[in-house]
Amino acid sequence: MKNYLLLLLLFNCFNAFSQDITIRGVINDSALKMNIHNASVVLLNAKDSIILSDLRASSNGVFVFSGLYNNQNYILLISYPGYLSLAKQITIGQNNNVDLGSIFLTSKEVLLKEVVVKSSIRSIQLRGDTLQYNTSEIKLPPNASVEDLLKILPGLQVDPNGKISAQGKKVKKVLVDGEEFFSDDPVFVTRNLRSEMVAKVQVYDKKSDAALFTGIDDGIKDKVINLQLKQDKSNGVFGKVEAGIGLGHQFTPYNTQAMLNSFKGKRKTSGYMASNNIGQSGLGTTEKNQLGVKNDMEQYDGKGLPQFSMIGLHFDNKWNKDRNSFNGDYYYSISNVSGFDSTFTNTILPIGAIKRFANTDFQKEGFSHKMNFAYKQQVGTRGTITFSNTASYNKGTSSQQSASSDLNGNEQFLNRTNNQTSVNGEGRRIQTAFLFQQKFKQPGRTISFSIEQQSTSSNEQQTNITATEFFNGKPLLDSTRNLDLFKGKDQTLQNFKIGLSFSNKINNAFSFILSVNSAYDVVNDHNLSNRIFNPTGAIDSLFSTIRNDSRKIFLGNLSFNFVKNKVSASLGSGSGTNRIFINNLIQKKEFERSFSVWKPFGRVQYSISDNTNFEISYRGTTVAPSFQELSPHAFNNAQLVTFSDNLSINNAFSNKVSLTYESFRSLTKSFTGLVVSHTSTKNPIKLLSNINTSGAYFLQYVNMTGYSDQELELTGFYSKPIPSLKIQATIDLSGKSGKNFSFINGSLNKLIYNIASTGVLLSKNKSGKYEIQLGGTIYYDVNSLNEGLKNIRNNFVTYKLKSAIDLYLSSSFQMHCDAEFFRQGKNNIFTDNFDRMVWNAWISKSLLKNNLITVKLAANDILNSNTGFSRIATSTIFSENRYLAIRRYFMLSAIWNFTKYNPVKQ
Amino acid sequence: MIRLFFIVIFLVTYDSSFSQYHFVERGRIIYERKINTHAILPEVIGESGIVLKEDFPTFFQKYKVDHPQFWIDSFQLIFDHDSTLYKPAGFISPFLHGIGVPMADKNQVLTDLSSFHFVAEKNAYNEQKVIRDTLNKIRWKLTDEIREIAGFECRRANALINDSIYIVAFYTDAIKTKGGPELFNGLPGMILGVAIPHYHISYFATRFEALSKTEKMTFPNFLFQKRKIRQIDYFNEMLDYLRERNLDNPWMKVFIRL
Repeated sequence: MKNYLLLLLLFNCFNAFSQDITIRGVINDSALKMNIHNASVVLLNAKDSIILSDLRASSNGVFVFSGLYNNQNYILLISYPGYLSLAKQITIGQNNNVDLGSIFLTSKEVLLKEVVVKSSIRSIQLRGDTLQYNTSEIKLPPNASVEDLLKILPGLQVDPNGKISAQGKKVKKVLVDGEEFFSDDPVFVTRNLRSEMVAKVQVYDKKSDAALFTGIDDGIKDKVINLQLKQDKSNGVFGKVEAGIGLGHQFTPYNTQAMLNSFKGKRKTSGYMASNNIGQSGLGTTEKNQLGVKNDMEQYDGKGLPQFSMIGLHFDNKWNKDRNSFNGDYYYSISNVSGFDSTFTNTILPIGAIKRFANTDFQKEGFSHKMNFAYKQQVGTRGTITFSNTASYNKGTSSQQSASSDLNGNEQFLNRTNNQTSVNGEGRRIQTAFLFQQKFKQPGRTISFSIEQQSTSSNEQQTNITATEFFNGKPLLDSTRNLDLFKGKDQTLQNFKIGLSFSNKINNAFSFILSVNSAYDVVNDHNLSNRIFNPTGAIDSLFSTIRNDSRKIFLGNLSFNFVKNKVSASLGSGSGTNRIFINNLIQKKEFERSFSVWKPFGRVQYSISDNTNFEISYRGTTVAPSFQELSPHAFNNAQLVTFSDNLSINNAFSNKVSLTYESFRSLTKSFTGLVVSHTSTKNPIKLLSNINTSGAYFLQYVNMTGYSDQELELTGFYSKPIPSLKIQATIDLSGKSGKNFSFINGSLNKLIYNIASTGVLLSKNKSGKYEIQLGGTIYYDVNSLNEGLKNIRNNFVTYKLKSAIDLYLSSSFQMHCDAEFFRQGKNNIFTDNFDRMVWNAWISKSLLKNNLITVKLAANDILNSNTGFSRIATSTIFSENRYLAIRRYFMLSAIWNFTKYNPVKQ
Repeated sequence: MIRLFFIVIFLVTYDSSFSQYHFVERGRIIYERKINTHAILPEVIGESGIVLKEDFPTFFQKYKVDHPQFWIDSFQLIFDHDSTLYKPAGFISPFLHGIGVPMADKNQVLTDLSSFHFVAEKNAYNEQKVIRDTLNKIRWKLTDEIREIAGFECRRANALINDSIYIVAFYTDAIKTKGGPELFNGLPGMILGVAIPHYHISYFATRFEALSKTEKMTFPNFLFQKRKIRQIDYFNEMLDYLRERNLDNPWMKVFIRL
């Protein structure tokens, strides 16, 4: 008995190493979620990988290993042809059977697809609002500029002048490593920097500075591109020097340019110089959209033969662990343009049509200095101070001589005018801003404070001699009138702004922003006209203005923001007062009026997926009358134009509802964008015109009470690669449809207009081999004027066909050819089609290692057909303008590119 | 009515379990055996007296010039779901060319994996011997190395046989039969490559073809031989022969076991 018990006890001891443990599991396909029959399952000793046992999964994917020891470590290796093998560590505890449940194997095909997709996805990603292109692997011919790189990125387009658009919207700024660089013009960046320096191209919408500061989304968004440079290619010296001279029928063309850049860590120093007479102001055609007084003398709009010279300098640096930064530019430019143009204008009026033929000769010249800088410093751990300044000075002269005649609908002369005008002008502007921003420890709580001050002063002297002969529809001369004025315009503008904004979180989803803004503007106009040939010295008060106008705006804004999961929304409004003071010192009259300001807005954005956004927004704003609408300057009156006051104009109110849909599909790499917006302006402020039988205009600003101008606008953009043909295809369409009201000679004019355009662009590139672009756009313009019973329609169609080919016959030999065919169709008024085909071409050959020197032979407008031409149709005016433009010339240039990258210190 | 017919057919043949890969139940694999003569000859000829020791250098030099470096022979393995038949495919290179050593050469091996036995017919000095014995259990150690052989993805496993001989084998899980060339077996699939690095012998599959299920496995007639000896007996007999001829060097001893 005792022995028996002992034996039992001993027997039980062996349970410590029992041998009846099983491991089981089920093998499944991870994508199809189906059982995998006959999957090989191998049981290995975890210590030495010795195979202990193996079997095949049964028809329902099940496998069972039994008779295993506990307290052991095993490895299970599961494999199946075409799938990734899976190794699982298994530790068997004390007497526990192991049931692994479902084990999923991934098919190699699925993984390969993912890898292929991911690696090509990695090259374009959409993160929130930013579209990022990974360009570090793109290999372009040596000396290719950033512009050449942007041209081949799907979704981006670059026009011949270097203007970039992204998904159909114009790109306003190009930043370098997040910093401004020659902020004036993106073309300075894209044509100056080399494509090999860029690692990533980021495209995003940047809110206006005002919205960023007040926190209130004012709906202004600019498309911005940021170039992130490669670490090893952002240190060194690089640049280029170009010189060219040629032959032309109109003039001898020349073009010189030099760019020098020195990038060292966070410090960038750049300079450029350019001088040419082929119409390139800057490195391309600039759009001086931001700084400085609008200097008409300097802008080249394609009319006339220009000469430009300019210098630009840029410096930016960050130090003290990026806590301090400085960014500054300086520009100097000098230019002159001379040319002629002739215009035919048809004005539809209740009394009949007035046709005007005018021929003008003009000359302009001027120079300007511009400087801007910004200094930023971090204060404490969460605060920032920014101090910025802009200053400019410009001076120029322009003169024009013109002869014009007005005829009535029966081809009878109403009047004939000869005019000579010459202008001297000078302007100064200085703007200073100080901004303090502080984030608190509590997330979502911030405060910011800003002060801004601006002073502008401009003066202009104009000599205006006009001689008019009045016929009034009769064959004999009725009367003559001469108006000889010496006009001196002196204007100073002072503007002072101050603002305070506070934001806080209410809970995880909600937050609010409260801000107050105040602005004070003072405008002094000292615009005098004297009769030149009447030497009494007294000013002609009919054509002079001495004014001291000021405006005080006080605005409070409150908005609530909601962010949760895929939805973000904001709702709020600004409201305040706008007090206007007008002091007319000639008529010794003072006028004061207060207007209310009301700016409600609401916005809901829904992220349908990572790459797809949908937004609907509403924005309302009061449109208060300006100084010039309440009381136009008598200074602006002319021989046939007289303005009058209207001090009882009330606010207009404009409502805008827009829907935006943007999507980027990573797999197919297609971009879709659609924006639909409807704007209606209630009681709009419009110019009321009364025209008498002699053709003289009497103008006044009024509210169109009870009427609403409406406009519906649609823009769509779709771009997708066609894989089989390796072509990127882009379709864009835009349309505008609207109703505009105005009063002419006491009766209501309703203009209904419809403009639609649709365009197709196909592009195909092979890096280093060729780039081909083919596109066409059709514009259709329908204007119909309803005025009483008379219905007048003015429709026309415009076609544009564009093609551009670049061929790299070898790494050092490149050919380029571009052609544009333009046709503006005829209509009721213009009885001829206007056709034009402009064809440009150049070839270049590079010499020496790394294409150090390039020789280029170019032909501009080979068919000599670039006659300047434009047709415009507005509310009551249809006009056609022909002007002198740059036509055919040939040019031979030499370009020297130099680069020396320095190794980056780790 | 036709529709119903097709639906029925579909339901009957529909396999709810996943079976994308079609496992071959029966097939033939051609292996190429390579023996590096330049590496083994010195050892093999060594003490045999076939070539006088002082003539070794000239002999070997001449040999290297006159003969290819490798003895390359083809073998075929016909496999079923649980048995394999291994035999030469074509002409086996005359062993030890013209040296005059009629060597033991393999004829056929039939392996039964379910009962873990094999029957082999061997020619030893013009004597036919039939061996029947149990297969050796090999302790395989699995590795992560993957290699493609004859279009199959194979995983490497290492083992020590006879306690001292290191072998490297590559097997594929795409063939369920757990066999391989010679007497190699025991991996979770078909062994498509085996190498005995130290002895300069390797077998690698060069061709694979599936055979239809209806084709019968021909049972070799040696199965019905009455007198079957055990592997150990065969080995000892062979060893005696080799000793007589002074060919009992390590390489030979390994070779005859295969």
